[in-house]
Amino acid sequence: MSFFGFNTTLPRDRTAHAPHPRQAPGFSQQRDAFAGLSGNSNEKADDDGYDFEDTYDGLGDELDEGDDEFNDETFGGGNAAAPGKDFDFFGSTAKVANAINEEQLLYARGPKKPTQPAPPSYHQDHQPKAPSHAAATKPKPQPAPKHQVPTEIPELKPEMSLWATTSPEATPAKNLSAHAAVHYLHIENQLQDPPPAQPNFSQPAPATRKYKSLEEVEAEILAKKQAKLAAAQQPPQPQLPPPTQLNQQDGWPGRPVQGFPQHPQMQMQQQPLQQIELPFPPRGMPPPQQNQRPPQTDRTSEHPQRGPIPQPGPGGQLPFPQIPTNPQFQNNNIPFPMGMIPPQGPQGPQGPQPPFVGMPPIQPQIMQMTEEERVKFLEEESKRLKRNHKIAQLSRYNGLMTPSDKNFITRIQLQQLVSVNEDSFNEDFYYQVYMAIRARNNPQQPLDQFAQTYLGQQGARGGRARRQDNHLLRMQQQVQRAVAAAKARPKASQLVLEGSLGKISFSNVKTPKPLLSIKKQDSTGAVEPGQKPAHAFAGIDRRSILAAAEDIYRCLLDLDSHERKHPGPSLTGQQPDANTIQWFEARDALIAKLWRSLRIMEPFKDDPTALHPFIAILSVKKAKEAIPRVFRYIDLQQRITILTMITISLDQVDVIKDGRYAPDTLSLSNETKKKIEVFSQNVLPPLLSYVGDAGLDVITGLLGILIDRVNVLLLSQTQVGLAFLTMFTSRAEIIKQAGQADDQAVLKWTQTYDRLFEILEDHLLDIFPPHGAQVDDMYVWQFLASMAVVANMSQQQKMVSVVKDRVNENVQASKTLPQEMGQHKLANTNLFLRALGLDIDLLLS
Amino acid sequence: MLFFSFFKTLVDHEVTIELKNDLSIRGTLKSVDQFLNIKLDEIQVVDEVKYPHLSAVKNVFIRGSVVRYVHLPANAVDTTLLEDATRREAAAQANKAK
Amino acid sequence: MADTENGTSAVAEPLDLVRLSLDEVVFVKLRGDRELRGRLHAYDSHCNLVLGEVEETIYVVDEDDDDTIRTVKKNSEMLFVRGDSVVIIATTT
Repeated sequence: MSFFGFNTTLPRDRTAHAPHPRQAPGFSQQRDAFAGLSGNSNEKADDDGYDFEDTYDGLGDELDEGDDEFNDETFGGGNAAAPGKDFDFFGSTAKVANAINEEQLLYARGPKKPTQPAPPSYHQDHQPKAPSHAAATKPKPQPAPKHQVPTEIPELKPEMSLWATTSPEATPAKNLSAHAAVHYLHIENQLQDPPPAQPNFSQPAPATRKYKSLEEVEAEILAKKQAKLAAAQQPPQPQLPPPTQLNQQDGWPGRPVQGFPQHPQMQMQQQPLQQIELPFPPRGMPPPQQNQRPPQTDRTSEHPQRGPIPQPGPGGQLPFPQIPTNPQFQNNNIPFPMGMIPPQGPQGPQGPQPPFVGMPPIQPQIMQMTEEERVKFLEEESKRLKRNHKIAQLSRYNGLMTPSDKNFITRIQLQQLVSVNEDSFNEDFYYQVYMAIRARNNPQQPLDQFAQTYLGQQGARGGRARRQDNHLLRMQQQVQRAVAAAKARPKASQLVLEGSLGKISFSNVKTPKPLLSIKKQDSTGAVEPGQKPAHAFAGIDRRSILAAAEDIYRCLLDLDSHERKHPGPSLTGQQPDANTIQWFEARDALIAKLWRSLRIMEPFKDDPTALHPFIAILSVKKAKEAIPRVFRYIDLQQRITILTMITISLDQVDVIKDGRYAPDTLSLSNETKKKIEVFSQNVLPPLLSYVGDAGLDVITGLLGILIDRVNVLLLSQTQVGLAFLTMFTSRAEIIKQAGQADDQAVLKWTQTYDRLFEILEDHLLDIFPPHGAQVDDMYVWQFLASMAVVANMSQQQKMVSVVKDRVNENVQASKTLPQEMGQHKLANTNLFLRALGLDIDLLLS
Repeated sequence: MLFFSFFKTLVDHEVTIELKNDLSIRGTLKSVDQFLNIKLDEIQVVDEVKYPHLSAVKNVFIRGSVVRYVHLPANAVDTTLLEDATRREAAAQANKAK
Repeated sequence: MADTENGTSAVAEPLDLVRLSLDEVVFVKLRGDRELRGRLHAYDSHCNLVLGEVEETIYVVDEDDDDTIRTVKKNSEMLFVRGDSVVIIATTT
């Protein structure tokens, strides 16, 4: 191989397609330069046009062979096989050949087109040929079918930049754009086929073309050059010929595979100067050429050796002239860099070959160029080369990954990203959500899922009393609506009621109290026995209950998290995508799991004293607190199931079981008070809101259940029990007044109510908390009001007669109490009076 | 990280830190780190007669490991949220252990 | 995040027992002859705790009075307890 950029190709080789490879200084050939020295006669045998003796200047004798032992270390590989012919580039590259071709095409089309018109033709040719090439390369019978060269190519690329600088000097080859291209082809051929394989070239057709073209081109160029000389420089003309060559080159799809996207570009730009670069492109210079290196140490000696051996024909002409004729090279220090940079040694060989062949013509062109032009050109060239080099480096692995590979990796990365975020959120869950809730107080910024969940709780944190009021207020509103509705349809004669009221105010001698208190004791005695033992949760111990409650929470947290992953609001009318569907399915599964965790569908035990699991779980504070959150997820059917379950077992629910005032006590235990509070805050509101939407038949049914299965007297003496009764009666009245129920339903309801009234009518005073208890009896008045609204005339009279003492008591007490508390007491009482069609003012006056 | 997260919400609240040497310091929580080291501003030693040596000190950095208790303002703690955060942390730990 | 497959609150490790007591009143024994009783709002793997409505009992040996043990009680509405002081966490009732 020519070290300094001669064209080492022998004329004979050019004409003969097949044989060429051998003598043509394959870049990967190990013999070239040193073949002669080492006595390798293989090549020599073919050198008919070149006589070593003739050309040998004796410099080789001066070679210092002494330090050659390190050459292998320095340049790699001590023997011919070292270059690594065993790389299976063909095998692996063939797989991605298509992708690479594509990329190359894309690349070539982009930037190159603008530079030259020729490219299009190139592409056209290239594409069709590509397949053929692939076919041709694969079947190769040659010993070295594998493209070893490609592996080395990447290493060579870096040198491109060096060449960029040198390219200007190389300009001698200007005119020889065609030549350069040809050389390039040769080089490539050599690259593809290791030296030995060259003779066997499986791609004879292309090879023939090349050579022909080369000669033709040379002829053309010469002609054109002359023409140019005559008519100034006309870059376009020289370019024209190159295209043809290019096409031929294109015919070698193998190159793209080698990973030289640059080639097409370079070829495309066949302006004289650019061409120069092409040859140099280090591609040709596979490091494998160990032999070449030694020469580098002593250039002078090299040239003779090299030139002769590899390129018998043309070499003879070129070699010697090269050195002298390449003043540019020398001037430009090209040779030196090459020699100085042994690892880059490949440059030398490549560059030399093409340029030298064409050198004579090229130089003139350069000479013709003005200094400015040259400088400009050099700059452009170096820029372009740098860019190409960069692209080449980047594109080295083009096509190695299929789009699906890339997608896969992208997915993995995204997943990690998401999971990381999720983790960090969980780590800082409290802070994030707490601050989100905090922030809510100021702006109306939308809250995320979690903040929503805990919004209600914050109210509780802010002040329990407030929350309690809130609950009572809602109940109050419902009762008031019932009362208002009743008033709109006066049914009671004011006279009768006024009479009863008047009666109360005028004679307070007769009090039903003694009677009531006796009965109260009866009722308590009756209930108590079953009550106490129930403390133990038969069949389910406390730890299981706690565990079950935690299960509920785990489901809730899962659901909350899942909610957070909501794919986003789907536009109405749009078909939900797979993600959304999947999300909803997962959500349904989680809800089903939540539902199971409530254990509400488990059958009642035979043992009547045994608590139903759900009711047992409900005895735990956190389970009560979970109810409103559960209600957010479950559907209507499930809600009514919970309501029914609680209703059926109402007397077993701890807040009712423990919610009665023990005889002779003025207050409940602190623990019970808390439980009642928690129940009222958490369990009642969702139930109330459900009942607020329920139909009359549901209400009637639920009240019927209470009357049939539950000790209503016991209920009536507890705050929560009364709340349930109030809830049902007031809702029923609202429905009735609104005319939303048919007569049948109303009749049924009335019958049920009558039964309730019968049970309670003699115990109405028992529903009050004991005298002197420091409790707000608002809930009692609410209940009485709701009863009064529904009651018929005689029932109302009965109520008045029973409760009148309490009414008067409250009126009197309100006068002694502080303003605010007094007003509150009066308001409570008045609610009841208004239900009867009266007003507290009648008493106050 | 649960408690780190928790204490971050208490920044700028007044807390009382009881150390393992029975010294109690009241002050405004200014910052906390993952080791639950704590920085307090405008401190005041609770039993100043007994521990007069900090009288002149305005702010302190307390190494987390010497803390026994931190008395917190209840109204600055969202217990429901805190319990859920605890459950999440516990679940995360359980998952990690797997 | 709780994994969705394992829905049951099986007590797999000691701290799972503590989890069952979340939002329940617990008894905590500490180093230095101290005991706490309060509602458990938070814990972590170091046994750091947050307790609400805490009653603290300190047992003090009264050297002046024949080494009798007297108790000092303190209350705190919300208390963070550093885990390295904790000896026992027990559920109550």
